[in-house]
Amino acid sequence: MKIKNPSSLSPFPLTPDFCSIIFLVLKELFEKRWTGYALGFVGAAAATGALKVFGGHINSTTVALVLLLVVLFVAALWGAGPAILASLLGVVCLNFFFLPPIGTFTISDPDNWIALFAFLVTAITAGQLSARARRRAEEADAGRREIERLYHELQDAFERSSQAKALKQSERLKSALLDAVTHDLRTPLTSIKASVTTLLNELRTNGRDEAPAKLDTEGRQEMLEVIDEEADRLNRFVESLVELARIEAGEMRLRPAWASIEEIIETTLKRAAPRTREHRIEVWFEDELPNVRVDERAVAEVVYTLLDNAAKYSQKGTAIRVRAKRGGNATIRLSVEDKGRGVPADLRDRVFDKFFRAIRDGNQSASQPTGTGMGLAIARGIVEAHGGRIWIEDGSDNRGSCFVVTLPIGEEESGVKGQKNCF
Amino acid sequence: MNKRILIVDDEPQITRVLRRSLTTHGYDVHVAMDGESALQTFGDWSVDLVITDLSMPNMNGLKLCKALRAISAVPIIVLSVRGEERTKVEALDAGADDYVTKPFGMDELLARIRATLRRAPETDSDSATTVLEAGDFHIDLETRSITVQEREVPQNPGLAIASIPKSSRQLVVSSSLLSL
Repeated sequence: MKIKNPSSLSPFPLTPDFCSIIFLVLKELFEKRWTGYALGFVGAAAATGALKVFGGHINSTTVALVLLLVVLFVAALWGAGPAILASLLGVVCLNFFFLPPIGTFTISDPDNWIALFAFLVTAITAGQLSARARRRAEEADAGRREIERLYHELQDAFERSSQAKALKQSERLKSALLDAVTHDLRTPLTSIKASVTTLLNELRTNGRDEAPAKLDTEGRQEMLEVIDEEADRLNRFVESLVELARIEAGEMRLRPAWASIEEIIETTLKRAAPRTREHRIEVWFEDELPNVRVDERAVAEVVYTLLDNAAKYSQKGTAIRVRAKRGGNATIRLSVEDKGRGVPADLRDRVFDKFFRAIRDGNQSASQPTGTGMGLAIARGIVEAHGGRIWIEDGSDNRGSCFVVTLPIGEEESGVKGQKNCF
Repeated sequence: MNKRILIVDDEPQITRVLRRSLTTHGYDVHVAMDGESALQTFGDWSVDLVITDLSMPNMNGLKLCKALRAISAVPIIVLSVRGEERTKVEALDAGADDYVTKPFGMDELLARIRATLRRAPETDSDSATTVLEAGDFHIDLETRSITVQEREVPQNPGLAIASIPKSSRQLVVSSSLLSL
């Protein structure tokens, strides 16, 4: 405490500073063990004194109970040691001041011997019990604090590990994206640039009147075709990227309306015909299929992706089977099955991950061209946005793969197929 | 005689352009879609230059370079979308003679093909090494005779000396030697 002016000190300096110091000192004393002994002693003595002064002809039983109370109090606050001291002092005081003959340590009535002994045992037992209860409470408190600490540590650890995991995953995605971008953007660019420079080269040699490398009409046509097709491919790639980003951001705008799944499939089959021309398409629909409430364009995209995949990864001339029927829980189940090499069980989930390509990334051997690695990811996004599911099953006869899509029919099963014809 | 180039890439559009363009510039071109079929073509066809992609199914470009280097000194140009230094070093160490990053201009590729072929030793059968020696073994490709410790090995049906190619650069599949 800093004293600015000694003359201002009063004999009882009860300034806030002084009070807080007193409080701290008391608190410190209260917590020390020897203080317990001292206060146990003082407590028992004070109770005896008070009873002697104010009690008058007080009953010795009441005195015993008051002293017992002091012992309990001391035990609860400072534990067993001070409580035993208070009990012993209590016995001495009870004997000396309250049990006849008063003022001596002798006891005339044998009953009082028993009462004194009972008091001693009760005081010690009560002191022990309350001290034990206090210890238990302290232990429980320490245990609770320890559990809380561990819980926080665990929480921190979880947080750190999930952050690390997320970071790792995003790193992986980033590098997958980078690979996809380098490969899928640069490959068509390579074809375009090679074609264009070949054509330019020819123009230049023409200008120099030397024609060592002259493309024929067919060659020129081919170069232009490659440029055209590869520009389309680039555009498709960019469109897929945008679509995928939209799905991932949860911004896919579905326009659900009642539609016939057969019509969606038939229209898509026509659109995919250039891709599936070399395969045998087998279509089967269950009778009386209900209409479904879906975004027609989006579901058609899913069907197209599955047809395109089936054609891409199975031999020419083999069958591609397209089916639609009712599934469980008010769903429509449509499937596209091919007779290709199939997808190994351990890759069946991963093929729906973006930028995953079973042939390139899964080390599956094949010489067919690979896709962008986005088609199935987009298909899954669309199906899941409809509340449906998409997965791969073994093809029939254990050959090829069968992509299965289930779509909820919709809230009200109003549009039964037959209705359309009921004019 | 036209130089023979083997193009290895799994992208049909790229092989389409390269085939057309290189053919127009007077090269004979064969195309393979992956490393394995490239090795097969290499065995069947005497090749002056291999142009290969790196990322391919079955056998990738790096493995193809190593496999080719184990059996031949044919010049190899790697074409790849990957432009990092590490990838280039790996490819060159695996046996590539040159590395061109996609996309490339046709003029540049043609110039690199010319340069690589210029650096490569003559491979035409008339000027190629006609004698192979390995320890005590001495094989004369011209006369198709084998001598061991200067003693001529008599021709017998178990050893198909007639199937040994005239050029030392050409790959001979061991099974074809013993098949007769």
